[in-house]
Amino acid sequence: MQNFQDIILSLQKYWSTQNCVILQPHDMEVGAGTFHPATFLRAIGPEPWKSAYVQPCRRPKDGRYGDNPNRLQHYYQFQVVLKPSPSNIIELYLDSLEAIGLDNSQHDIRFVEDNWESPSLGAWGLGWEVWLNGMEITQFTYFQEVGGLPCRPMLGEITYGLERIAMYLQEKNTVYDINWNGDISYRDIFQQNEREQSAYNFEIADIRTLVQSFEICEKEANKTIEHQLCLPGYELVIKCSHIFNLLDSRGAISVTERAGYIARVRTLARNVAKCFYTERKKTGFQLAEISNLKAILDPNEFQETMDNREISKNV
Amino acid sequence: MNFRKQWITEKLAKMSDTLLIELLTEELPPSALLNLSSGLQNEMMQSLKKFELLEENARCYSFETPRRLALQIKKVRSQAPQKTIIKKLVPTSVGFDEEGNPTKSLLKKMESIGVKENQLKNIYSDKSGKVEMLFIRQNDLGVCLEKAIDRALDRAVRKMPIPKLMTYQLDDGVTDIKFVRPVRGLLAMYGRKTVNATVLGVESSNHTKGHRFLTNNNVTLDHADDYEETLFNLGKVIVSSAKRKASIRRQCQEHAERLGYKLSDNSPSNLIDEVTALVEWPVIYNASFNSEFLTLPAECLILTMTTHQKFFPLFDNNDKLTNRFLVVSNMDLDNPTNIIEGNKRVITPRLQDARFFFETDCRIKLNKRLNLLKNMVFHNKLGSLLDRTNRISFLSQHIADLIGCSTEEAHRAGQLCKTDLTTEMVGEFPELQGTMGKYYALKDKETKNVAEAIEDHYLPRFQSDLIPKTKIGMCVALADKVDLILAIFSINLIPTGDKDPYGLRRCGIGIVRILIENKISIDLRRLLHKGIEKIVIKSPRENVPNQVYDFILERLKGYLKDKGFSPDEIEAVAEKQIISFENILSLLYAIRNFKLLKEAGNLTAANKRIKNILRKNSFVTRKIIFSQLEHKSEIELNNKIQELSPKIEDFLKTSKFEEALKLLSSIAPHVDNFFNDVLVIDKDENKKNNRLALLNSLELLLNRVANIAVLNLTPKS
Repeated sequence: MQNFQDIILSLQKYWSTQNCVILQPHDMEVGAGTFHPATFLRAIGPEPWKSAYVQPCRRPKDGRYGDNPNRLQHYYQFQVVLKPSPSNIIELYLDSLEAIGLDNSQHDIRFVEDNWESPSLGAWGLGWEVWLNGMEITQFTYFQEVGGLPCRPMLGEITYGLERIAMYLQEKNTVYDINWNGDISYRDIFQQNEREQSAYNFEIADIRTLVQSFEICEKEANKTIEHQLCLPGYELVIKCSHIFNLLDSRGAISVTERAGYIARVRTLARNVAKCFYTERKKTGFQLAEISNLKAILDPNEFQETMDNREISKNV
Repeated sequence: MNFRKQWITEKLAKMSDTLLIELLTEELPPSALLNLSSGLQNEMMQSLKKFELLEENARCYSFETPRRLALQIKKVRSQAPQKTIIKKLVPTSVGFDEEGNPTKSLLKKMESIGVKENQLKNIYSDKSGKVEMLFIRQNDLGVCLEKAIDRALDRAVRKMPIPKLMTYQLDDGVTDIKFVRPVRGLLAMYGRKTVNATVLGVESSNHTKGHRFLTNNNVTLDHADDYEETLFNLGKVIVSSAKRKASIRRQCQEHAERLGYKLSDNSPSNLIDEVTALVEWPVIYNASFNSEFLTLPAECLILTMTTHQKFFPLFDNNDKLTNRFLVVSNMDLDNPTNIIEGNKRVITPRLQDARFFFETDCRIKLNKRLNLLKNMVFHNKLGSLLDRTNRISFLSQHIADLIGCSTEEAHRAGQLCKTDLTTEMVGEFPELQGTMGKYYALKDKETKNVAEAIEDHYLPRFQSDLIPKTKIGMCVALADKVDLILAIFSINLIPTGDKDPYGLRRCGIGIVRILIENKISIDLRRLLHKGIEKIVIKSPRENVPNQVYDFILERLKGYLKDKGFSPDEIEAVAEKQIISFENILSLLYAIRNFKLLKEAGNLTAANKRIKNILRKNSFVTRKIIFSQLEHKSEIELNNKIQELSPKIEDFLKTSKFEEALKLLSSIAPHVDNFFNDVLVIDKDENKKNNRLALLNSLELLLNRVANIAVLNLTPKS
């Protein structure tokens, strides 16, 4: 049986042998591994990129005060991104499941259509959720657009739900019973955190301060973009997104306001994406030197197709 | 030698065999699978037909699984038949000079249509036209399959109905491919041979892959005819959707019977289609959840199982939901513990969520939720859902007053009908709107009428759906729909073409159905005017109630057409500016019977004639001066009109349409006599006017019940 940390180590080792850059989490509150610059920004432009990392994720609205066996406002994703996406990406993924101790021939593994869209990142992709005996353990997405820019070449994203996989492998009915390393359980590490953070997210977080913070971050983001500082700019986008999520969990956003907030984050995300593209271009798309990907540089890549797309409910 | 070569070519052209094409893909979207497959089939068959590569009796079988789209076409030619083509060149006089040598213009023409100079011997002249012309006879060998296949495939994949097009790259990382999901293999065989083909950057071979997990992957085919069998035996794949579906049905039935339970009679048909499109080798297992969850509303449990997990819930013989369910898996295992236990463990937290939502929701009573509706925008020009709720409850109450049921209950149900939109459960399962409202209302100790009205006010949701069964339900359902149409019309968002985002047409049909099928006696036009009073917005569209009335009349016509009434029958009632919908069906049946009467033809013809006469002649007075009627026929006609009019009014008062029309038909001989014996347009102005007045009163009578002039009938002598 694999402990929680063993699963992470196994995945890191497996993807490391697939020539992935093993990175560490991005040190900010994000809603998903996709927000890590190693996914969002690296999906932009022609440069090849392979990376794998753990990312703690925050979804304030999903908090349940440590009471619910499955819902957490803070949890872990293991993220793999491969660009260009190799034609055997599904086989690679299935092998990775064997690497963490699953015998694929003894389970019912299914790829069930699930397309992904993030209106606030101006991003969408096509793919599946991967089912293990009916349980979703992974999100598999072929990125089509990010920050309003088409992804050429396409990036393949594999997002493992670590807690779900661990619960399955360890046969636990609640996330808190997961063995972290044999001595220490998930409960020991996180239950208090869940309780306190849930209370903060739902009851305490000051709405006025949050609203102001959003404005400040948005302003600051625009300033950085003016100065062609896309990486700090992107981090401010991440901040805006998290503040929005907090406001949402405080129930402070009406239906109409919601669309407005999302549109503001999206505008920032797009500008950052453009800025990143321009800055990489200035370097001559360094990483593309090592492959033939320069051939697809296309001056029309700034097509913004997200403009008329309806803003869906999900962030 | 030449002869032999030609013989072989002809022989080849006559040869036909089975063509097999399989696109091996990554997992395809289940909802699009059948459309993709038939799209591929249609496009390929069209192309092959155009290339003349299909025998007369060629047949195409299509197969589709989550990972493959395949076609097996029987009787495909390896080469299209040889043909002689005749091309027109130039007039003979232009084509050859006096010495009989070809002219420059002839050679130029030949070049332009791609005929070489050494083909001159195949030129002949034809005198049958106005001018003697030169023609050339050419042999067209016919395209061979190998050459045509790429073009046909290429066209097919571009024309397939792909809901969301994906762009991906080949392994060079540079070449863009657009398709539904990445294609990883192409199996192309003609009889025993591999057909050289390339589509979407993939080259053909004679092998494919079997089931992802049940086989060792590569499956090689000996013959294109063997596809289904080989994939079944070596690939562990049932390639036919129909067969997989039948297998799922059969296995589900067997499991249910063995357990002494049954499947739902009205389980959504798309569920079985969806699971069929999610497996290549369906094997069904049964599992259960903790029966303590059965205290939750069955609808929540069923939705949780079907939408999220695609399980088939099982019911006992009293149609009560049990805690057992069936899982359609893609794996055939000797020891299926992983699958059964895994699926059991997935459903538990989902049910816990549902219970959490239910318990959380129960903490706030529905009437306390009205305030929450204030924060929910209905439409930025039309205010919040609370505004809409207030309008609905006002109208519900008004309708209850008109049709004679409890105005308090109608008002209450109107107030509460949208409150469940603020609950967690409906947030999670929007399909449960109304249903959850009913459950929560019962928990809140609302009356049964109110609770049921909350659920029923969305009815009918689709064409063959039920309509509300209780009077209170009807009141709220009508109020909801009337308000929606009025409100959306007021802000100028009238449905056009296929654009009807608020489903107003469906709403209109709902109103029609409720009024007709429940025989509700209501003046719809007045109801619309009542409803518009409460819609207070800036610069609303004008004359909305009348436009909405016409809009609903159009739906009425459609509804009656679906019921099998002919356009003329519908026009005969619709033209009457119906005041009440309640009796429209019995009126229509009466009209039908009237049409069978032998007098009907003559009466409608006479009616048309009268209309014409009255239109062409302006008449001074509507009053008939009895004393001036001189002819026997006109006196008798008048007497008959005077006799029938009050009787027909009596019949109408009691909605005895059939009797009314039958009585009316008794006037036919008098009308015939009148037209035979009397000249309407008399020289004497007074006589003329008097007769016109007589005809006018006759016309009023004839069309009192229905507009019979528009009926399609041929007069009988």
